[in-house]
Amino acid sequence: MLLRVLRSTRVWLVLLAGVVVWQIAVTVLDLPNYILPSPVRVVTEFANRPLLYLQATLVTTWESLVGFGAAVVLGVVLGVLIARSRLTEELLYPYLNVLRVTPTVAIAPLLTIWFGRGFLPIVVVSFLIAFFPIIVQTVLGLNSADRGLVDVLRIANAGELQILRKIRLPNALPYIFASFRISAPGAVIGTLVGEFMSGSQGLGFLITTASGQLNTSSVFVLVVLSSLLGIAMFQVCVLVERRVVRWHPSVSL
Amino acid sequence: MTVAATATGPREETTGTPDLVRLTDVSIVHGRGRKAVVAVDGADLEIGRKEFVAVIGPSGCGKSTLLKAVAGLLPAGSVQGRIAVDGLDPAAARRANRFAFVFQEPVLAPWRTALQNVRLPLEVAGRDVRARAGRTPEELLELVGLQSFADKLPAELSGGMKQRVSIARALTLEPSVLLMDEPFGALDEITRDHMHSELLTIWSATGSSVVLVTHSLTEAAFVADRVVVMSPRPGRIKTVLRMPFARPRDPALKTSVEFLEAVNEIRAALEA
Ligand SMILES: Nc1ncnc2c1ncn2[C@@H]1O[C@H](COP(=O)(O)OP(=O)(O)OP(=O)(O)O)[C@@H](O)[C@H]1O
Ligand SMILES: [Mg+2]
Repeated sequence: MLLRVLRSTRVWLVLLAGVVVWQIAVTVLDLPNYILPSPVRVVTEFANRPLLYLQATLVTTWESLVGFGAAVVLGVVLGVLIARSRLTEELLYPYLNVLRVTPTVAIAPLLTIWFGRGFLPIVVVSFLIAFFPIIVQTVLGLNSADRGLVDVLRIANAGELQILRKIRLPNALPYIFASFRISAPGAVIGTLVGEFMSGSQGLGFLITTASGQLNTSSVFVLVVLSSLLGIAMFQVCVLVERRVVRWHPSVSL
Repeated sequence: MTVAATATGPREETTGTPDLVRLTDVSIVHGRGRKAVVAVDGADLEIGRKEFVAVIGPSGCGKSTLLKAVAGLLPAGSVQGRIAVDGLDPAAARRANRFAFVFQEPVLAPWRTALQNVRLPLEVAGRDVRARAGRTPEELLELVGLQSFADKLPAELSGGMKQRVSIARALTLEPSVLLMDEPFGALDEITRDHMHSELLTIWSATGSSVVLVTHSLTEAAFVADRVVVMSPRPGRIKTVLRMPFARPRDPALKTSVEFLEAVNEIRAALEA
């Protein structure tokens, strides 16, 4: 316990030291604000317009959550279909693979053409980035269930649906949660990319406008808020994971 | 050392009653075409009600395959000949929940506690089967001596404990036939000895026939009424030897002269 406190405070101390060095470097080297603003200026920038930033954060959070939520639902559902039905696997897999290798950034402008500007194309980009890790891990988790355990249920005369519910899905949970660790921050990145392309509000949109105006301190505020959002989504997933898959060796209590 | 084990014949109830499992000229082929492997060739075997049969043979001779065929776990078409369980074919018998299987490794769901693992077959069984089930999961855990570990996860149990949980789980639906594929293979000698006695106690408290696959001559001779000796590829049944020791069998039996003679007889049959 003491060790853990020490370890986590050590991380903060290291980060704090970095900020101090940054402040000193900017002051000593007398760097212009548009190249690298000092930490103090970044904080001041945030304090000057807190409502603007908080509102943008809320918008981006909401879009990321919707994108991520859609990715979880579709990823798990399609994962189940692909893992358990030969036909859907053969029908879906080629398309999924094409979609997967296509850089999402390259499709984003297309989405704006199709869906116009605003919420929908942004959420779709967020979804596209979050989706693949989830579906891949779901399929892996469902198919890696212990064959003996499946046989035990078969002998007890269980149907495929019962085997899915009692064995395959619980077995897949740690895999699925592992994918959330990639997908949740990924959804935030997707949202930002979407907002670059077709947003009229949100952190990503503000980054484009602020950088257009060479308002670098504002860009820094937005970057920090974006990272915080990614970290928060990651941490929430880890917290839920700890509660749900308590039994798994990867979750050290 | 005196052992009251010279009385002959299995217990009264196994004689005279019709056989529970009957294999007639059973051949099993894995795969098809050029890659086909004949795993079992022309096996004839009858297993009585409440009888304890051990199957022994060199690695790869088709013991596991034979067990799976009885349980109806093999793909249709790979089994030739007739397998009847209480007059039913394996698939129908499986649907009627006549079987339970214990594997070499204790396959437990790691996210379920010991008790929840024992309860698992009950959760998927039909209502009629559930009504039939005699002992509750709690009672079964007690039977295998794990009542105080009911709420532990598999990761918190020892190998022997895990195997006892899977034996308790196998008994939840009161199977007529308990199929065990090297259930104690992963255990150390002392735990094994202990489990033999426990298994016999459990078996005498249930109405199941047991088919136990093993590599251990001592294990086969100690637990079984009859020992089925198989020959290597393709697997054939060489001989069936009767183990004429009275029940209940005491661990001291393992050091008696009669017992060692029986073990030697099995070894001779294996090597013949
Ligand atoms: N699913 C399978 N597909 C193809 N061949 C198989 C399959 N399972 C087993 N075999 C083959 O069938 C033969 C019998 O295998 P089986 O597992 O029944 O042997 P065993 O007597 O249980 O061996 P062991 O004592 O090592 O467990 C072996 O030659 C094996 O290679
Ligand atoms: Mg085997």
